Amino acid sequence: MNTVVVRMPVLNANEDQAIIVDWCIEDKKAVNRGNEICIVETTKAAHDIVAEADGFIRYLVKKGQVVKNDQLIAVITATPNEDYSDFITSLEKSESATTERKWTKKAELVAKKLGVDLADLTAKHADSVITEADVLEFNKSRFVGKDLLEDANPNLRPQRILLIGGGAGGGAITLETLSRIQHQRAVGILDNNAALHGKTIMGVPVIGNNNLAAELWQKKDFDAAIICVTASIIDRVTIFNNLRDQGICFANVIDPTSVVKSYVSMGEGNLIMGNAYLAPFCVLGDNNFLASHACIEHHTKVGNHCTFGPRFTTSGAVTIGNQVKFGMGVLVEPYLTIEDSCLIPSGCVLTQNLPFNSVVKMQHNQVIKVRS
Amino acid sequence: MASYLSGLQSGLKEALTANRKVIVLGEDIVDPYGGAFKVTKGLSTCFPERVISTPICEGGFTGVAVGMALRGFRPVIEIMFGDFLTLCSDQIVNHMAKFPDMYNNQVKVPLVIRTPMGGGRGYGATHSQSLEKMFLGIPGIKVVAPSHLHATNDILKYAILNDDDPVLFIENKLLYPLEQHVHVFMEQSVEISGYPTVALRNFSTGKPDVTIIAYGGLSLEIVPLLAKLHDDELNVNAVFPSSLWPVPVETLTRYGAQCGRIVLCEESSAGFNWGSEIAALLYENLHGKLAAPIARLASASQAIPAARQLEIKTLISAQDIENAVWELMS
Amino acid sequence: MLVNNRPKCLRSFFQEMTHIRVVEETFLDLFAQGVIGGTVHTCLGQEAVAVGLISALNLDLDIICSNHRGHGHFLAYCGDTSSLVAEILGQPSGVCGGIGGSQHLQMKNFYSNGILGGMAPVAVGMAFAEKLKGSGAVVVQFMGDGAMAEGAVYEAMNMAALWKLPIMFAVENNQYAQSTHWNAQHSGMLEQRSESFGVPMVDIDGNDVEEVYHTTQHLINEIRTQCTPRLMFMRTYRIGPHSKGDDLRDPKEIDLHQQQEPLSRLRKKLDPSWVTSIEKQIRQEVALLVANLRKE
Repeated sequence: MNTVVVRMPVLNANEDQAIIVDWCIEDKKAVNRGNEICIVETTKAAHDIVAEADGFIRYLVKKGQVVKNDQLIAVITATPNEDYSDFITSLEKSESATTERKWTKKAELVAKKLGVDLADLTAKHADSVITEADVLEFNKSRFVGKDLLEDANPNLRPQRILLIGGGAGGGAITLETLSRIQHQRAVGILDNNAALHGKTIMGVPVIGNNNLAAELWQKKDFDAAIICVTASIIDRVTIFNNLRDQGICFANVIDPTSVVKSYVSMGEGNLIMGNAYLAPFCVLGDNNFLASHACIEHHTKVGNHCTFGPRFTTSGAVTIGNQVKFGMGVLVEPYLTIEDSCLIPSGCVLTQNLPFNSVVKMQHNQVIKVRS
Repeated sequence: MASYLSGLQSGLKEALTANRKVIVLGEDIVDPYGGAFKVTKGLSTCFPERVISTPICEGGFTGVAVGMALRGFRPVIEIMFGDFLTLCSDQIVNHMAKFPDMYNNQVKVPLVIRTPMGGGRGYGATHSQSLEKMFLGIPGIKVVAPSHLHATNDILKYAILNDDDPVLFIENKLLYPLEQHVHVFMEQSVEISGYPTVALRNFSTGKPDVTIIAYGGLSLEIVPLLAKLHDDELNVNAVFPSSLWPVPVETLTRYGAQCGRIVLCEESSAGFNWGSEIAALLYENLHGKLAAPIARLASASQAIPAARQLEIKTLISAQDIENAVWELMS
Repeated sequence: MLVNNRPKCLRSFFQEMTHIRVVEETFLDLFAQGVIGGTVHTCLGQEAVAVGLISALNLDLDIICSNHRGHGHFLAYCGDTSSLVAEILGQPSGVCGGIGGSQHLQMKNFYSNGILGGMAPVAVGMAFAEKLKGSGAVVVQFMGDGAMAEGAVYEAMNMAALWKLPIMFAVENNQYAQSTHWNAQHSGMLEQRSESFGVPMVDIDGNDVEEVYHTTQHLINEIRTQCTPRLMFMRTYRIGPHSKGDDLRDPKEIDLHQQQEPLSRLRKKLDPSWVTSIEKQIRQEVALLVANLRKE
């Protein structure tokens, strides 16, 4: 037979305790189911407590003692002298186990909202209760972009920027630029270089491949994307169109040291680096990359997906098409038209219009005369 | 520190001492019995002419008190169980509440009707109810129900000595033995003169996640619940108005606006109750500022069973409130 | 004005009763014309109760708790026809600013309410208050045979006798509770009920103003000196409808009672030429008063 417990019953709705007045059966003596074990008394009346099993009574409290409702009074064991201490210990353990907390409810709630699996934290917090702060800290290290803390003024918070293809140098200079911008904030980096995943660049986590952008956008984990790929115009175009098809918004990231004059018109997804200069009345389309010191003079029109190397300079009223790639230090004379998909190497001085898909060759070391 | 009961006892005694126009009437209130819940114990010994036991006729002696009040006294009557207020309702609604208004404010009825409400003691269907909701909204009366966070002495004395309107003063049976709960995180605001609203929070700084608004006997459940929710890192402000009618609407709106998540709790049965009106007022005042729909909790809409285990299932519990709080948070 | 030094002669009784009759008939006319709304309960045929009883009170001291049929009580108490008519017309100069209306009048020590039997315990409370104050005031609680079916009345009688309070329960047995004859709603004898609570009862002809006056004088004196309650049971008859035009009784029955109604009886004891002239005078006075108030 198993050991059976005897507890103080609730005898009176207005009291939470009673006094053990007397034992009806001596300790360690045999009892039968239905036998009176003891007399207890509340302020209102005396009551008998009866055995609920056959066995031997083993008292746990003293005669005259005040016992709280539900407190253990005695156990009934199968044999008169058996050791019941293990039974009591296991009973206490099982009771306390049900109340043992591994985490607070707030932590559980926040974890659920952020998609954090609390099991991931239990190893680190084996000896303490996991708190909301623990979950937030864990989540921050996991992915800063999943910053869902409520903001009383969502329209005033910095725009959360996701860097696409940000694992290389373009990403780094964009992060550095963003670090000096008040109204924008890098929240994560996507890059197809799997070796970077799970790491951080300048404190910003590399979350996964570029194709993760759609999922993050769905979860509202960022407000706008910027493409940091600078080497390949084709990649820029593919990524841009792909993301725009998903409805993702693009940011214009403009280094604070650059100058954007009045009456400049600009699309989206343009990345403009330090000391660039955009003169009045120039027009910039979408997804262009302007390296440092690039100068777009007045009344110049630029299409989409162009990249401009450092110190590129147009004069006024130049027309540039789409997907044009300029090297470093290119100079463009006024009123020229550069049609789509042209490739102009570093140091060129353009003095005539370029038709669609032109590739310009730079003539170096041209000797025009030998001095006498 | 006074208990809920001793505050009422001393409040009555001090009122009788302060003003000879104070008369106490009720069933079985004189010594040595001293009233079913002992609120009047010792009073008849001190004031034998002004503490009077009545026949068992709640409607009748309520009318007697109304007559005394019309003729310049400040009577206090005890209705042994709040459930018996139905017997007094004609006197309350058609006499006590009406006289000042319908007589063009030519008379006053300064009368306090004290009565214990609430379950949890196994008294069964006709001795366990919270019927105050039947008297909320009646023009010309006030309905007051202190929790054990309130100083019952001050509130009762104010009702007897200073309030010229008739007051229905609801006590709670389970609160009688409790010491007044006092805490550093407690604040009091008085929108309805004499009947403060007490707010108790379980956090030191910042704003609450949830505001619980409740009254009367539910403080017994909610105070320990606040500690439990604190352990679970939830910031909760529990607000206990002592005036149910009129409603301290600005105070409740202010607390409700702090987080936009509100749980209204009461012990009365569900449907057309205090929370219905409070929720409607808060929706009007906090339109667009609520983070979630207001949760309303009450006891089950059924007769209260006598058996303990059945009664527990019927009455609102701390667990119900806790569940509602987390439901609002998720 | 309230000091009850009005002459207690037959002529003055007749004058006051006629005044009540004319005012109430005017109310019924105004109601028929649609000038006043709601309801009016008249005491046509019961004027001897109002005038005889209230003439015997100390109006500076004593308190009256009246019921829904209380115009007569009010006029006998204060004679302030102007504030009663204004109240019924819903004007600010009314006794309760027009808020109370016909059934809810309050002036000085006069209180009426429209809940049958509901004022009985309130009146007991007033008597208790006056006893505690030692003022010597007596409370008169008017009720009809209809109200004697309400439980509150018996709770009130029990407490009045238990606590030995200065109150007179004044029962106007006008025989009808709205449309129901008292026989059809009461078992046993109404007049016997109070004595089982220890409230002594006197049974009188309520249509005889002199008998009402003298009995009241006697009972009020007993109540005031002994500080114990009494019940005066007055047999009368409501010759008017319950409120207005809702009368389904046999006209022959009403005709029979017309012979016994208090004004007819009193008229026979007085000089016919004085009666004619005073009736004319009262009608003119009331008509003028009402016409002036309606101009406001």
